[in-house]
Amino acid sequence: MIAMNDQTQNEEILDIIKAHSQKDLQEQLLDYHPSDIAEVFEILNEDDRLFLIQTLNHHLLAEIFEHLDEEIAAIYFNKIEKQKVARILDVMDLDDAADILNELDDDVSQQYLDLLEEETKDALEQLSQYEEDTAGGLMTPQFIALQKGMDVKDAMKALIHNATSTEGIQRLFVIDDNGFLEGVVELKALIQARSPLSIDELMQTDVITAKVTDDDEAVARVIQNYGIYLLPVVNEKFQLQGVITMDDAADILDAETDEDYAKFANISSDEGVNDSFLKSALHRLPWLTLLLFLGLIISGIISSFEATLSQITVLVFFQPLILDMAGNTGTQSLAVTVRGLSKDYFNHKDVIYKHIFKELRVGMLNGLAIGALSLLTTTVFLTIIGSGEHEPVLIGLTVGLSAAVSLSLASVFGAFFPLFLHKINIDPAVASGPFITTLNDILGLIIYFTLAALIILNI
Amino acid sequence: MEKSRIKLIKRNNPKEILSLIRHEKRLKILTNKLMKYHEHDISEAMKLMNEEERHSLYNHLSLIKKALVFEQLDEKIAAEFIFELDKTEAARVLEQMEPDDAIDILQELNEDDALSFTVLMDDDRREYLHKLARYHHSTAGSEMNSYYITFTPEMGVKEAMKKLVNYANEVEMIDTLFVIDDQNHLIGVLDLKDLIVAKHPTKIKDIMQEKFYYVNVEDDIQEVVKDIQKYDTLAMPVVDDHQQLQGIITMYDALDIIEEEASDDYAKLAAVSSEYDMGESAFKSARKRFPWLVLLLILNIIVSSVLASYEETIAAITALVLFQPLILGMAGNIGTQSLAVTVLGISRETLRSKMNITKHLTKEILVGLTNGIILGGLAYFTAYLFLTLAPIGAVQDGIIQPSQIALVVALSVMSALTISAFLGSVIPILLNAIKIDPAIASGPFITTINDVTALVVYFTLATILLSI
Repeated sequence: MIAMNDQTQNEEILDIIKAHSQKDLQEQLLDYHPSDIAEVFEILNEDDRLFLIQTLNHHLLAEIFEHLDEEIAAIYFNKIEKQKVARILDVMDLDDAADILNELDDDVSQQYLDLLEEETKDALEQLSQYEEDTAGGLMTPQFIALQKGMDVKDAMKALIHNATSTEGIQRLFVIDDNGFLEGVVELKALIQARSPLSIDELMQTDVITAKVTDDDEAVARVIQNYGIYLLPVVNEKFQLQGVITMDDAADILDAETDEDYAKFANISSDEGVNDSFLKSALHRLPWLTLLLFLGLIISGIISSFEATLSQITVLVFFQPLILDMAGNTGTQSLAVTVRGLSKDYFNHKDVIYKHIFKELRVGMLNGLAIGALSLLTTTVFLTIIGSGEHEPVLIGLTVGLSAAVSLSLASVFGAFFPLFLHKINIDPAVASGPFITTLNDILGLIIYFTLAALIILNI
Repeated sequence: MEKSRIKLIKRNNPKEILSLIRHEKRLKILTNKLMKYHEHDISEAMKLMNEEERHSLYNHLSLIKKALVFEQLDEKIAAEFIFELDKTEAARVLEQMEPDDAIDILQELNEDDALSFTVLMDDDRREYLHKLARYHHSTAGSEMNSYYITFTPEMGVKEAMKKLVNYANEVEMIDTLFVIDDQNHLIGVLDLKDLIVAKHPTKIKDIMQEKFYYVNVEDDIQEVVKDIQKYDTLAMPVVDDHQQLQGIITMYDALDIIEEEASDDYAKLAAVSSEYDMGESAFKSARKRFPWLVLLLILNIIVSSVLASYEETIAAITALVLFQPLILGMAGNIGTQSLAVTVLGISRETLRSKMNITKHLTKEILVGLTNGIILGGLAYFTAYLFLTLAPIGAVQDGIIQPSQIALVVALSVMSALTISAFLGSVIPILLNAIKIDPAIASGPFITTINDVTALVVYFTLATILLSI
């Protein structure tokens, strides 16, 4: 039994590999999960990696390659003799094999394909047609197909015959002579059924199905929402092409949420931890440059209020307060809106109006509360440290009112802007951040300095 | 082609359900149609309905379907809707639900209400729920369910197959089966594939795997989810300290937890305390977001105090104020970038070893410095141009040259960016080391820390370089 504790396990694996024992390596590593070995592989040095791939047999290597990052796997394909690569490809899960082949140059992957058994070769060539981020690119062509009209006894035989070579057997797929998907038989139903009984009686015909061209994230969400362990994928003609397993959906969702998170912070999620610092720096530079120029617009705004500012220096003390509060309120509505968009909440006009109106009310409520609090704290603060020739309470009033108004506006913009971007087909998660911040800053400053002139200077 | 019964992925099912409830008057047909929709779609549709429409929906769903629908609802919403059912029916629904989902709902209620439902449940179920409720919500124990099939090692495959057939309908999945001894100690797992290809008179102990993965009831649920994903485990057994099997966590459960956790991290980055929720009133949303804003207000008083201590500098050279938002904006952004990369690194477990952490910190500082130098240079020219074209205050009076202020701005950008990048990466790592969720550092905290740092750098440099 193995309790979950990867740290010590990975160290054990590392020790085994480092021992460089030709004789025992294969035997000893068989005790570990290929996923752990793949994880250790990524931290090995070149010598150890080469020793590993030369020593292990194609079965174990195939399993390790299934769990390796496909870019790394592709590099090491080039360092193994061609015959062995072909043997590895023959036993690998087809979807993983196709992913690695896609990383290689066309003529190199063709060389490997020519060494494969006809059946595997056809399947891999078929798979490589699909884009990586579609259902076609995600599916595996290994599933158990049953012929329409079959008896449950024969279906059970087909299951027993193919069980070990198929990744998921929770559902079996009924097709007609031309490969059209007719229905699905749940494994549970099959094992409970007694012959004589045609599988047509057993199958469900109401089946949620993906098309090969469907977007992978949409497919993953369907799998999550409906709890589907095996989702059938059909082509334009409704012929069954493959299935997508739930673990693939988990990986996609994981990557997607990472992506959302990263976009929000204006970084790119494929920025690898192993990237050089220069590469990372250049990755992030565009956003910062953009902010620099947007910042200059703000400088321009402040400059136009110079007269007010030079008379009441204390205004500067509370400028970050107002901008931060408005910025944060904006970000809050932005976040809920972007999240809602990625989950397809806003699929109806009424829902959109309701949402924007709600955000306005949220902003006003918090604006009033925070405005009152700011008035209080600012007045107390200035009474303690002294505010020169101006009444602390007047400055407090300016700060409080500005906070109230800019919070309400920021809240509406935060909800409106991403919806607008989505409408004109720009990814709201990417573009919203800096723009909404700048917009809020500009509005906040104009409100603040204008109110200051009105309230304190009586202009 | 008559392939219409194949449902391609579409998104308007909830709206179809809504219009069915509103417009379909033939009750039998309505029942039939409603029962065909997936529980997920029905749960989505419920959020769009008013109470009366929901009542008519309940009348058309079977008890089991209702339980499935309530499993899909967010627990806060479910805790409101459950009162729309009468007490006995609500108790039945909670009984039928996956135990971890039922617990989530019960824990949303006040104790009296929860008790009024649980007293109506059957004893076994109530006991299991009580047991589950004892586990902290961040542990594997709180998310497990009891829908699995067990065999004993001496069982023959034929007998095992019989048991499987009898119980198959009561469990979520039968891909992984569990082998226990007479004291419920987990001693093996069995792949369904191996059972169906095995021939009589094989015994279970001959085909079970004695080496398998399991987790403890007290294990952190996020770690468990990661392991399920990593090992592609369809059902992870959960045992107590005596190796006794207590429940399982399926990959489907894991999928939901991944989603929740992701929403959590994301919400923290934006300082929104929880998931977006359509049905929630504006007042409730406002109240949820209010604490963050109060926190930010308090933190900003610190920023104001820092600024107040530079009052003389500011009064002497108003032009400095022009570039303050620019510096704060960029420093804040680079800090958030480093923070996000670091939080992602921690959650992907790439930042576990000391070596990696040192490497990561060095890298982030270099990233900050590189961008600091580039942007500092850029800022020098733009600030210089800006002040030459539109001079104000002391610059206009010729007391201070535009190039002097531009130099202060440039140096501030450079140092503030480097420091912010460092802080953005070191803070989550420190928090993680003392077992505080690193994502909490995002939002208001990092913003304020960056603001204060950047302002101190900016005005200190100004005071020194412009010799005020």
